[in-house]
Amino acid sequence: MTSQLTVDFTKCTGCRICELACSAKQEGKFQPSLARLKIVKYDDLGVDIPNVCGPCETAPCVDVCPVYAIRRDPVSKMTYLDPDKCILCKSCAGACVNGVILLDTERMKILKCDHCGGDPECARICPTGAIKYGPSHVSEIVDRHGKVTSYLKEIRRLAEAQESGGES
Amino acid sequence: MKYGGYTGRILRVRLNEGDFKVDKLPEDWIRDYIGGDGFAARLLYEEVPGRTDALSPDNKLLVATGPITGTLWPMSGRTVFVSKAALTGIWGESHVGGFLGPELKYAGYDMLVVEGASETPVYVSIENDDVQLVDASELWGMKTNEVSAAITKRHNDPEVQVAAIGPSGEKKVRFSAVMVNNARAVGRTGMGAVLGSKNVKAVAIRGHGAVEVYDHEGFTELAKDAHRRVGENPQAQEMGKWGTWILTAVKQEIGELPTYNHRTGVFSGWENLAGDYIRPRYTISDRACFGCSLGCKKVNYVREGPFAGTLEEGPEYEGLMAFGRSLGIDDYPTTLKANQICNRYGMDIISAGATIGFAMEAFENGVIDENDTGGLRLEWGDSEITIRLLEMIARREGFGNLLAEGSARAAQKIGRGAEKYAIHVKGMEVSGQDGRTHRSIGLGHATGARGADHLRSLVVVDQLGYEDVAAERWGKDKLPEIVDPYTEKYKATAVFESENTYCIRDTLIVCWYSVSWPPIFWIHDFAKMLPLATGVKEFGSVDNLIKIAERQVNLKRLFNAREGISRKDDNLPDRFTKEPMPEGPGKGQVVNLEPMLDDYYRLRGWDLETGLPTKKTIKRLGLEWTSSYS
Repeated sequence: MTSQLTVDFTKCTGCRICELACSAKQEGKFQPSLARLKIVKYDDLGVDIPNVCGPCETAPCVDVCPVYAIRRDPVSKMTYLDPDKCILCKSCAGACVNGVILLDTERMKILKCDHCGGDPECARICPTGAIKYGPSHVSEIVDRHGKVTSYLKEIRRLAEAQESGGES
Repeated sequence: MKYGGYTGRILRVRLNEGDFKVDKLPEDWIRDYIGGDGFAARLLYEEVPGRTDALSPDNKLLVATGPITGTLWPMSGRTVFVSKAALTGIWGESHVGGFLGPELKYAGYDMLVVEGASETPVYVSIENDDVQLVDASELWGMKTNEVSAAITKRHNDPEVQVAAIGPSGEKKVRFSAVMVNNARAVGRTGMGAVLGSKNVKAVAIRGHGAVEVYDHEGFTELAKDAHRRVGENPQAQEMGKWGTWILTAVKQEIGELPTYNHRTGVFSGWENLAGDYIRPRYTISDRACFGCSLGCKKVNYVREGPFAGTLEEGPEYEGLMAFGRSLGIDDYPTTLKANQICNRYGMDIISAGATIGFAMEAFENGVIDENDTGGLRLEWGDSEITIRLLEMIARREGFGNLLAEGSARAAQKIGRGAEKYAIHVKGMEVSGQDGRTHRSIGLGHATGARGADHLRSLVVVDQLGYEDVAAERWGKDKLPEIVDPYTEKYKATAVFESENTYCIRDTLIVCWYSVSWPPIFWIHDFAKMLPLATGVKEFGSVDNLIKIAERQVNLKRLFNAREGISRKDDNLPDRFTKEPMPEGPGKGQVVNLEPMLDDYYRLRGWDLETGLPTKKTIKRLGLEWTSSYS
């Protein structure tokens, strides 16, 4: 129970194969809107940000759950939902900072990543190795926003240089 | 729906009436055409009569998907736009990657038909069953990336997929594109002008539903194995790293790198336009289209020089040709900037670049001068003039207004022998290949349904050392001639059989890469996969798939025949048939087209004189119904 689902944000190409594989396994069909993870795409900047139910330093879903249906492993910091205890208050869906806890309004149930019971499909299929699953001591967590902020910094540098007439 | 993979519904947006309706997808279309290109050809033939003006309300624009669009099968996120072409007035089609097609399927439609014309600017908004025509007067005049951002904001949903036209589509530039995800282009044949003529600024799609295949377990296992095959293919992995730029060095080596408006096949400045030069200097991000484990899209950023601050995806190999070598430009940032202008204004890169190349060569030879160009001196290798001219075309300003008609129409208007420098087939500008040093593409360019096409029949295995693959596909007895790029022999066989497999590829719809090159999946792989996806057992027969492909090729041919196309139009510019390749490994080579055409027509069952399907062929493929639509 100490493995973590981690993301190297520099490697994601935004192909959404993980969303397809997730819904294929969990729902028996291809329906990304029910996937337990989400790729957020920035076509203007050319970056793609995978959001998975990975280790959470502060896990609002755990804190907000009124019936303790979600708990967090103290070592791996991964969270787990016990669907039998869930009273469908939907608080966790609103509280999740990654936006990966969903309410399925048709079947009225909370959809949350269960890491496929220890062998997550998304990590198995990710073609670039951006999504990984492994013991916490070997998994590296790559700075989430590094890729975007380095772009923005560069764009700012250029704008300043142009303003001061340093570059044509 | 009886069959897996399909939604069974066609959404029809009727702009004249200002409403929409949903038709049932006819089941016999599935058996006879599979999907994608096939469905679109079936519908367009029946509903857009011969001699219809492409820019009139009577033309229709179709967006079609296939049975595996939106599934886990590798590279299955592609979509096809089909219409009578604004550029050529014949069969028009253009495929696009990105994320649009799957979203249409999730919204519950196999196909979208846009018909009629709106009196005022609108955009089509589709969210599952909620379809609306929304006022787009505020969006009119916007560039494609601005349209996408504005619609995303209005819908308050980052996942809405937008296909938009830019100012060029509004102004009906003949080769204007529809843009998806900012940088993925429905590029060729002028789909942007068709949408512009209908006053439709964009189509915005959001779907929350599912695609369900016939045998989910079996299909999913096969799809995962297919991804594994892509992952283990060394060329696919190289392609993931370098994108289509990988081709620059290869093409230079074999002397098929179109340069100076296709005059020659080698370029002295090629190294600055090769992958290993560009990537370390400019590339900041690797991206992929929906469901693609190869990931050939590169986002690039220029840090210094006159184009500093340019952040854009691309350009592809073809863009490096169109705005680089073909214009004598060896400066990568210029090609990126030109690519960005094309993306934002919404224009086809190949036709735009080729039309500028046409003008430069005509200027060089004194056919046009500063009186024609409004004072501009057009010279090879001039970045500044290239960018300026491109923006003038995009806005139809001055001399750009003439070039916005495409090279064939512009040459006709200029007269004075300008036609010699318009490198096109059937009105569509020639892509970045050259039949002189690759005979089979000479035949492909000449016979392509939409004009000089490099995507419907371009054989690659006859050129890049795939002798074992060629032997397996076409028989050892045809070697070595079939892999000799300088001989016409057996080239019709290679084109015919490749075109058939590519037809099936375009019905599914999957990407060129992994099928056409590198050769990972071929028709037998589709025969294995399709019954699992659809439940149609007949799709398991390769012979049946070939027949479906032949039906599709013939249907497009009959569409063109109705517009007056025949053997006389299956030609190549004199550049390839009369001007020997001036230098490089293929020095002295020319294309001898006629024998290849004869061979090709025989294989297709077409009359050798007219180049049209014989009665026997029409009957064998079950296309007799076409005679009731004129």
